[in-house]
Parts: sequence; C-alpha cells; structure tokens
Amino acid sequence: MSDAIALIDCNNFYASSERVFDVRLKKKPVAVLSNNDGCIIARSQEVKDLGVRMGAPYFQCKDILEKEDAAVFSSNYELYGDMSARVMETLHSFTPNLEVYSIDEAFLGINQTKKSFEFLGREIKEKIHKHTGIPVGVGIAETKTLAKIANRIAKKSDKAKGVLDLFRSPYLNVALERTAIADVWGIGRASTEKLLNFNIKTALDLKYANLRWIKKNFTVVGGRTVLELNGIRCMPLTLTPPPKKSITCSRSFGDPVTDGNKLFNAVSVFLQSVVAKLREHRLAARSLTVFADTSKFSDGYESRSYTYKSAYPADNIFELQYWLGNSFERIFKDGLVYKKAGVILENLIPREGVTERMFREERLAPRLEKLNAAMDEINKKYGKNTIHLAAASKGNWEMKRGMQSPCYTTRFADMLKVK
Amino acid sequence: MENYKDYQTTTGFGSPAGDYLENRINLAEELNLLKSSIYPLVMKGAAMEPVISDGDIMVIDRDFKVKNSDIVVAIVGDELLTRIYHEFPGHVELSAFNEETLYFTEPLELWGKVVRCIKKF
Repeated sequence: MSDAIALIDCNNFYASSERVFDVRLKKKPVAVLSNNDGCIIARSQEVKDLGVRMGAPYFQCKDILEKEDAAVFSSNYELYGDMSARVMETLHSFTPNLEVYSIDEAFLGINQTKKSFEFLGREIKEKIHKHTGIPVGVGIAETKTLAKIANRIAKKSDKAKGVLDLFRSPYLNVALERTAIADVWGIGRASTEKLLNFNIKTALDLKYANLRWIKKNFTVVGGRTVLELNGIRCMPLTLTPPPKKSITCSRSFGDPVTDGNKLFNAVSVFLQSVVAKLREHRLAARSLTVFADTSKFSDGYESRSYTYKSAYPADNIFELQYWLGNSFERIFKDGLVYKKAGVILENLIPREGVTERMFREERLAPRLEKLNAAMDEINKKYGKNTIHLAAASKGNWEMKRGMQSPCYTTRFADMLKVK
Repeated sequence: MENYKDYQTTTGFGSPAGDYLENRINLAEELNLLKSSIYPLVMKGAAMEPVISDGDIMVIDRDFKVKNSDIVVAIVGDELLTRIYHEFPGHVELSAFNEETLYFTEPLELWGKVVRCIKKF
C-alpha cells in the first residue's frame, strides 16, 4: 500500500484542450458546449468570472459571451479523449499505481522518497504541462477524500500555485476548516442540508463528528468519509477498472423526429457506436434494449422501449443489427414526435466465453467476424462511421456540432498547420 | 489483408523462410512517433525552404530542452512559427531561411521541437 495519495485534476479540461492548439485563445474567454450545443460544459477562468454557470443553457449565455468576444466550441470528444490519454500516459510514467477516475482526473499512489511530496507534485504538474500543454492542480494527502480537499485548495489559492501537500501537515485542520461541507467528496446536496441542520458546516466539523451517529444517519458511506477525513484510508486505489456492465449510446435530437425510417437510421447509428465499444473491450452481449422518448417538456410524454434477450451472445454488428431491427418494430409508434433515442447492450460476457452463436453455419461466423474487424480498423483510422451498415447512414437528426474544432491529434486531415 | 508471409505453398510445403519471419519495419513504432508528447504538424509556406518545405509533415516533441540551432515551433503573438532558435546573453533570436529574423528580450514560449520531418519528393 502506498504512503500517500495524490489527486491530479486538469483545470477546465475541455477549454484547456482547445487552447493548446489554437494560440489565439490564450487571452480570450473560452466555453465548450454539450451535445447539441445545448449547455455550457466547460469554461475558462474568464468565462467563470463573467458569472456564466456550469450547465447553463447556451441560449441564455449567448449574448454575454458574444459581447465579451468569447470563443465558443461544440464539444470535440475526439480531441479531448486523446488529450486525456496523453495526460494519463504521462502520469503513468511516474507510477503504475494509477487510477483513472474520470476523463480529467486521476489518483496516484505515491511513496516517500528523499524529495518532498510537494517537489513531486510540482514535477508532475510541470511534466504534464510540458507534454500536453494542459494545466493541472495537484493535491496530496493520506486519503482520497483529503487529497480532493488539498486539490481544491491548490487550485483556488494563489499561494499554493496549483500544488498542495497536506500529508502529515500541521495546516491540515486549517485547510479542513476552510472547506465547506458541500465541497467534501461524497457529501451530496441532501446530506449537506441535513448536516447543516446539525451545525456541521465545515470538513473540520465533520472530521470530529461522532462516528456512530454519522453512520446511523448517513449510512456506511458517510462513516467512510469521516474516517477518511481522519486520515484512515477506506477507499483504496482501484487499478483494474471494473468490467463493463452495460454499454449505452443515446442522443437527443437537434430537430425532433417523426419519421420511422429516420428514427431507425438514428438508432442504427447508435448501435454502431455501442458495438464498436463492445468489440474494443472484447465482450459479447446477451441483451439489447432500444428506446425512444418524446419530449419531457410537452404533454403526453412517452418513453417506448423493448429489450431483446437472446440465449446466444452476439458480438458483431450484423447479428446485433438483426436484434435491433426486430426490437425497433415493437417500439415504433406512428404519430409521436420523438426527441431522444438510444441503444443499450447488457448481460455482457467476455467474447472468449462464447460457444454457441446465432449464425451456426460454420463458414458464416468467421466471415462476419473478419468483415466487422475490417470495418473497425477503417473507422478507427478515418473516424467513426466512415464505413457502416446502410441502415446507419447520416441523417439530419444528428446533434448539432457546428462549432467543433478540428480533431488535431486523431485525424490526418485535421493536423495543425504552422508557418 | 492476405497473409503472404506465413503460409503453406500450393505444393504443400511451408516457406523456407518460415522459421525466420520478422515483422516489417514499423516506422511509427521504431521512431516512437506515438509517444504521448509527440504531435504531427504540417508546414505551410516557404519560410524554412529548402530544409522544411510547404506540405512537409513535421514530428514535434513537446518533451525537450531547447539547444542552440534547434528547429522549434514557437508561439509568437497569435501564431505558431517554425523557426531556428538561437540564444544569446540577454536575448533570443528566431531565424528562418526566407523570413526576417525575430528578436526577443522577453521570455519566449516554445510549443515544441521539430525532431523529424517527412518530406515528399
């Protein structure tokens, strides 16, 4: 078990990724929008300072962003995914004791050496910036919960300059007192309200709260948080990510869909996406769910779904498209205005465990596998859906991503041009 | 792709090279082009002709310590420029074969170093 835990967290990750490749953005406010350009999902510090909130609907902020000459982008997940991988690979060079927590956060298990933890934290911050151009904050402490608190202060405090080591620090309780209870990892809105009612307002208050009472009123999870605040590790690093339980692809439509063919086209495209992931993880699925919803904000909201269950696991697009076609017929109702749809694959097993297949003809199964493998290779190189089933052709239900920047690191045609 | 390397010939025998098969040279692997600090960029314009030509693919490594005469990609104002780096006491010069030399007394931010250039003939 490592001596301490470090939490590395990228600053304004999506906005920072955009800034690496377009140097004009350095001084400009930068905002990134969610799928369908609906809401703000990333803000540079300048945009935060304008008072634009995370998750705010874009149409509400459009005016102020235009007035301040902000650069606004549709999300470029192709780019962010690769930049995230680069950050994680750089972290891995420090230690394989790495838990990738989200697209822009990771925990590291670190051990004491001659150099201080703060020195290590700075090395990590500088190396990531060198290799990727992404600024990060580093928080170090005995437990994940404390590391999160250290990280938060590291980012906000001018003195810390992005790195804070609270491991066996005489300033620990000062830091905890400065941390509001709502900002403690694991304390959600309901728990925050409840704790405030009992006058537990800061992380320091929670640290010294009665453990038994906390466990009784906030379950074992609340108890763990208290122990972690006291430096007792309850949440170890999970190095091997848990096996996937389900794979989903769903989208809201830019323009609502009423036509059956168009809707089928959309779910076929979603299927391509989930099957690509299924195959990448070398899994097979035993059930497929397809759903389509009307607008939540209109009368007569309806969510129609059907789950196809099979005794024979499937792991290629041809078999699964057959399941999809079958299921779709059962959910499509003419006359409804669909706003959202999706496909979910569940009951996943490793593909090595598959003995019985749907197409039991000897020659057919390996041919379908080869064909699907070839499709995977092409799509990986030229972009997803470069080659697909006819059912999954482009339609104009697609989410609006008109303001997307080029995929600078993943598409040959999008490489950055310099003079 | 068809496998023409490790096969059984139509006479029924294996290839005499069968025990000696090696993979073809994979440049991306050998030259470490997929490292997390490596980014491919394309040169536009004639500033660095004939060393780097318009359309050449430059392999940039962000993980480097700059030395005199390195070819770097530098952030100059609102642009990225491919130039030769020279450091003097008190100032830095960015020069090009077909452009005016630029002088900097303030710290200059470097995006990366050109480590390889893939030209087309």
